[in-house]
Amino acid sequence: MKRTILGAMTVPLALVCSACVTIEPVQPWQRGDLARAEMAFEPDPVQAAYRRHVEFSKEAASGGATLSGGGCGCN
Amino acid sequence: MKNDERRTRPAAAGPSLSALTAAALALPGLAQAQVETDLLYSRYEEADLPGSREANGQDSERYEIDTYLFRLAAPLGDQAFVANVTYETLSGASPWYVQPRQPGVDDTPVQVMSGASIREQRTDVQLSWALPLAGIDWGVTLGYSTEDDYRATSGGIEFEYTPQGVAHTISGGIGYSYDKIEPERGASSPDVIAEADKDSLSAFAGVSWVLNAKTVLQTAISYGLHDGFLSDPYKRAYVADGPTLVADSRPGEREQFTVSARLRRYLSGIGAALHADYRFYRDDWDIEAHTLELAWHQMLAESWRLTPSLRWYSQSQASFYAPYYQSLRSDGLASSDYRLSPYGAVAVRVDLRKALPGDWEIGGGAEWYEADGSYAIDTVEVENPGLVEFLILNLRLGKRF
Amino acid sequence: MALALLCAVPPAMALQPGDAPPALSAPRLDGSELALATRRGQVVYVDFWASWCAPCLQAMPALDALQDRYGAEGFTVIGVNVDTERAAAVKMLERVAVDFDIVLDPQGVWPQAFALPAMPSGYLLDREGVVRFVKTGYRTKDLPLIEAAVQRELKRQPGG
Repeated sequence: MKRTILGAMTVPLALVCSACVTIEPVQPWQRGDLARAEMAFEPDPVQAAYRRHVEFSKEAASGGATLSGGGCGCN
Repeated sequence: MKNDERRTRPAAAGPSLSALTAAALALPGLAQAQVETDLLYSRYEEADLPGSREANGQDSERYEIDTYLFRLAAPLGDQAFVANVTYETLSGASPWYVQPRQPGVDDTPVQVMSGASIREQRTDVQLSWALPLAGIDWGVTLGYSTEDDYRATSGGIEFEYTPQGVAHTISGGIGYSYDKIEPERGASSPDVIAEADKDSLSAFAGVSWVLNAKTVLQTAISYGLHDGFLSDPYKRAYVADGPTLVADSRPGEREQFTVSARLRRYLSGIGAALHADYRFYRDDWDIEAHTLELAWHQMLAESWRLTPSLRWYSQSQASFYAPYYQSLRSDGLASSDYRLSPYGAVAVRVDLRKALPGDWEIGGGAEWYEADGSYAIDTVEVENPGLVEFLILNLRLGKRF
Repeated sequence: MALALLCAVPPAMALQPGDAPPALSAPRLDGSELALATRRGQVVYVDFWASWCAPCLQAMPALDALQDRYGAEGFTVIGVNVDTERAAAVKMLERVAVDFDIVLDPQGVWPQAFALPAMPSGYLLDREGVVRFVKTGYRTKDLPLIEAAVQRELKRQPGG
């Protein structure tokens, strides 16, 4: 089962990485695509906060490039 | 929630500075052009625990949560103010302890659920203020969360800095939370502790790189330190050689580390953005976890955005965890919480959003999540019977001024 | 990789006070051409902006007010839009309406010539077309600095 999942996730990853190995200087005025809402690290702060909360209360792992908020006694 | 399990760890629910900044990174400033308001309603429903996994052989209902999230983000000149308010009502039963199906005859672990369902509420308020100072963007956040038996007060400072003329942004933050629990007595918890507390410290540091005009990458490390009462006062562990049931008991300290990467790639030909996130987690309870998440943000006809995503998670068990114990451990630790057990999980999600005239936005989405031993990286020999499966449906409304 | 990224800096020859930009022109929204040279004799603020740049959008109304105040004395603003899609610029101008001239430069010829170090950036040119003041980035507290530079240039006699 895990092989199938990992396999399915590898395809788009490989696609991305083959494209992103090209490292090119980007001028300040050429960042229009990078500034698109859907390109943000967190394009949907409300949804992201909700999901972090759910995952936090169901899984052992937590943490990342955001601060932890206050605690909860959630299930 | 008198009869129910409680959880005593800090929630990663705080608003982040990256959500305040205009966009990805290495882009100008905190300033945002408009006041943004968002309302999200989420319905969370756990699947019934099948009778085959339960000690009494009967299907059992689990948790249901209705959540309302409200977010206001307002520019104040060069500064920004953000408020996040969460209100949720929770009801249902949850795992209490795990025992062998028929001690001495059938060793298969089966779940015993907590008693009758009780309704509870949680309110969480997070206030953030973002401001530029000395060429660096700063964010200050204060938070307060309250439930019938649990209160958390938290605060944190974050920063983002983009040196001029370079293609990377440096970010970091440090946060603190004081949590206090005053468990309530019930049928499943007659001898529960009166009160307990803990301190939590968290910190992260990251660098975001502009790889090319369509690709950005963020790498980060984070650290968490929890000190105090980290057990679950409502849970029990089963010990075959007696005393039969003991209180859930975990170490009084926990150190957590993560290394993570987030990649964003814009595919201009088809008007889509691909997101790939990976996180490696490790703590000093010996748990290691991997999280991989892929999301595809597809713009459709200017005003629609369709986002399917797939998430995979795998964790190993805590050193002191067991579904149940033959005899008490010499260090006295005991926990049968499925969240400390070895398992994997898969989530499939889809979100749809539509921009409307007058700067309105509506949307909705669904998520199905299933935890299972077979999804884990390593072979799970004995699966915890309390692993969860749930469905989330949400609706949202947004307005820009 | 880190080294390659650290080296990925904009051109080192960014335009400084005392430099003069080359002859440039670009179309306005209505298609008519605007050449920088035709503004010789006036004090010109060349403001680079894009729809995706939030502080740019903060600066524009402030610059519009400056042109209102000092236009009669010979001060004018040119807003150089660097969006690659015209529609994005048009949509933003519906929200942030300004009276000063807007030119479209989707190819980035102007920012290349100025060797823009950041977005937004603004360049104040004197009556001879020489750069006298450069503002990179924009915070509300920067407005008095820009206004002071405009006043200084307006007072200066041609050739002085």
